[in-house]
Amino acid sequence: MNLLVWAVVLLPLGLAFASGLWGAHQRVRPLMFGLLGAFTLALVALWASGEEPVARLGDLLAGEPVNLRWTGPAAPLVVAIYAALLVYIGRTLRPMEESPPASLAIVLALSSMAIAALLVDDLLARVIALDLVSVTVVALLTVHSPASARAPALWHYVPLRVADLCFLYVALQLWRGTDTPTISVALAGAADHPRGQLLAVTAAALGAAWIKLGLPPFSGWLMAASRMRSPARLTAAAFGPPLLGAYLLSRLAPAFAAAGPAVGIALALASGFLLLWGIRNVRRGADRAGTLLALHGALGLWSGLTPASGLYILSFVPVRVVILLLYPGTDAAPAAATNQAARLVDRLGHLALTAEAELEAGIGRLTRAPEALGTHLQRAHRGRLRENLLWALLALFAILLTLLVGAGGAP
Amino acid sequence: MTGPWAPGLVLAPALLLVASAAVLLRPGSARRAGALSLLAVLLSALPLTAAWVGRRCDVILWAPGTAEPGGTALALRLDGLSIPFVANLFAVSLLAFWYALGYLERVRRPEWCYSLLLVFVASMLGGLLADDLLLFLVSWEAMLLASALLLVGWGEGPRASAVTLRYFIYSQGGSLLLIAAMAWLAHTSGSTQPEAAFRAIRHQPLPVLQSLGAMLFVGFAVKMAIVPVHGWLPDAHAIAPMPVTILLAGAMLAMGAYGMLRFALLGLGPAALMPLQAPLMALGLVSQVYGAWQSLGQRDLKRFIAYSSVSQMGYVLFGIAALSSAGASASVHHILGHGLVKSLLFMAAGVVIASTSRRRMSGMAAIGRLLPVPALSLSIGLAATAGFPPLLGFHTEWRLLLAGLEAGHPLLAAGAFAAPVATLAYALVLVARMMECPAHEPPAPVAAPRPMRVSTGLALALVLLAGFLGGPLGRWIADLLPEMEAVL
Repeated sequence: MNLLVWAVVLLPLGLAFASGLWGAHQRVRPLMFGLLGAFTLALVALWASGEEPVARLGDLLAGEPVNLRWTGPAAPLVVAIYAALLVYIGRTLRPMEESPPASLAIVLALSSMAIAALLVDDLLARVIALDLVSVTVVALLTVHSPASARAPALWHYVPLRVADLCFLYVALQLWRGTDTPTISVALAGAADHPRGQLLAVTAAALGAAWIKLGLPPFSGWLMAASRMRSPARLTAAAFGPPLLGAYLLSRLAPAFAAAGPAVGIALALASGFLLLWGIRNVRRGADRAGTLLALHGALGLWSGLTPASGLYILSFVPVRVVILLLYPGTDAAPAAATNQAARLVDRLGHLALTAEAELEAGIGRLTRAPEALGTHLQRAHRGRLRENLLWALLALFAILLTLLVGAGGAP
Repeated sequence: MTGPWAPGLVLAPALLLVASAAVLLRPGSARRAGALSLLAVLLSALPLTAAWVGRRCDVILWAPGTAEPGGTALALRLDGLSIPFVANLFAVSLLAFWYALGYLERVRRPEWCYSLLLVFVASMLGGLLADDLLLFLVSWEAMLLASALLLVGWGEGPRASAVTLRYFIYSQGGSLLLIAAMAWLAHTSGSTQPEAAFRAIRHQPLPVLQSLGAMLFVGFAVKMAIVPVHGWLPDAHAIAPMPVTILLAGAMLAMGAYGMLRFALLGLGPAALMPLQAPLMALGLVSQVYGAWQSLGQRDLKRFIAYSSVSQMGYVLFGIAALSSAGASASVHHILGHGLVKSLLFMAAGVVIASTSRRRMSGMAAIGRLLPVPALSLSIGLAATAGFPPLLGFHTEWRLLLAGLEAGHPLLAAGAFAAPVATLAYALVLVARMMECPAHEPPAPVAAPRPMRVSTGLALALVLLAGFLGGPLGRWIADLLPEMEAVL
């Protein structure tokens, strides 16, 4: 059974390598169907067994064993990913020309990373998996952008990385509090943290989930993914970062509840903001798919605090796949937001140069200060011989006095 | 003298100095001088590797006053703290000398350049092995002198002399503080052996210890190019010939961190330094963000990478300032990673410059298409710098952040989580630039000399390997530092 857990994580990666290596469609097809069949069988066997097998990854990170666990909350989501992958492959394999192999390989790698992120039971290993998912999604966005917009598309990684850093903060705080990076143990002890720390952890976790769900003002990457014409949008927007954000919310729900009413108030305010944003977008006729996806993501914020969270997370991938199938992509305005990011970085860079020049000038003035002071004094005392001699004698007297006192006090 | 391989401690720097003289005495082609230098670096690593098996080796060179209690002795020591730094020095030197075979082919007086490079490496090694304050200071000054001569003699561009003068003034300012601190230490304790000297002054009033700590921290901060004493670094890195830049960035900056750990943290102990903790952490954080911010605006590729060193040294200071064994071992881990990654970045940048004769950031458009391997090397180096898992930066980043959280300054620790975003921003600037499609097709690149390309490939392999083995590497470093664990 443990081998099957490995198979579920590694087979999509094998598929990705196969499609990336061979490239030629006719040769890839039988191999892909073979691997896909094995993937299906592994999932069926795991599901039918009713067991919770564990595959050991080793103690690669913090000196504690890292495992992949086929457990209750994550298992149905892996099946949902598989189903979405089937829809994607079904739509890609028919008109093969529409989906270049590079994109196919990226999508399959994304599936593997997402499954690993769901199954891994170590906080740090999950941070790694989340970050790999983020990078894979950005790679997908870049590949599907026109040549001129590829470089700006890279900037979508910034908000996703911020989310990963927020989760890293959560992971390290939970680890510190419970002295273990094992997720289930760390989460069980989360409610015992000091209140201030618990609030900070909750805020960071909500921040991470907010960005992963693609909620405004961090919705740029999700909008870009939903606008793609390629079926790859099914994967990026359905089971990429959004699913992991929603899963994060559902797992951290006990910590939110322990943090007190402040979290509820924050979520109520957030809901008002999101509702207004959704209405505004719908009235403007803006990107329907993107807006619906963001509003669906916003539902996760509430469901995290209610018993409906289980239902929400189970229906997450199917609902999103339906939304994306109903509203096809247009490839419109791909890089407006990212160009803004690039312009902002340009402005910051220009400001940095000015600041450094000012700093240099300041240091220069500082180093020239003694010389300037000397020149000033020289000018002020020019032609005043007697007065200057008097000052010199006084200084000499002070030095002599110091030497005499020093000599008298010496042992 | 302890350990069967203890003589290796003398042999290694001596071999480098002999090779330095040999290169001058038997001048030949640049390639021959380079090959001899590379061989000397490789051979000098062997006795130290053997000594490492004994884990801790001491050797006394000269002991005029050891009969008296706390007397002086010129001594060398290889212990848990110096091993990772020595390993870093040899890894970076190996890459730099290999790279130099291609880079220094056409410089004037290559034998002098190689000779000084060997003296530079030998002096850094002397500093790392010195178990005597005087010997440390002599090595430190030799390191500054050798690097300054390399800058003024082989610096590129019309500003070489002015930049060297500035480098010299900054470095000597830091050195003066170190000389004053160590003279004070030796005078108060009556010994020049660091362990005995620090043991003897532990009973001094706290303000005295704190003043000493502050002097040591500032003196070594100059070498680490911590903001606001970083002014020497960007220009020096930009004008130096690439092998010198690699040694400056990969190995010499680490000397500052070594000094902080050896003399300030291990010597004075965390209790005496506790009042300095918050200011030092804040300084580390400012360096992280300021260096990254400055990188965003740079127009020159080498200055761009140089400012990223300022930022990375901020991470190291942040870890040291945590005043814990976790923070110290994370900093050492980060230094090892920084040495490899910075070498890779400068080496790949050198290949790009040699192939295209372009070093302005605006000229980097389409490099991804024209020179895919150097562009990939730059991208992987930047990803490692930005802490992208599973590359090396990630392993050190979470350790440093965890040490920061445990230091008891929650706001500073939370602020440290923002610094990697600034790092990512400048990393993306170059990666995006390399992916851009220029309006006019740039001229086709020429092939850079083979040693430059091959050594860059080796650096890339080492960066990837160190990243994938990041967890075990971190544990190896932590295991090497039992003294640190005991003191902290």
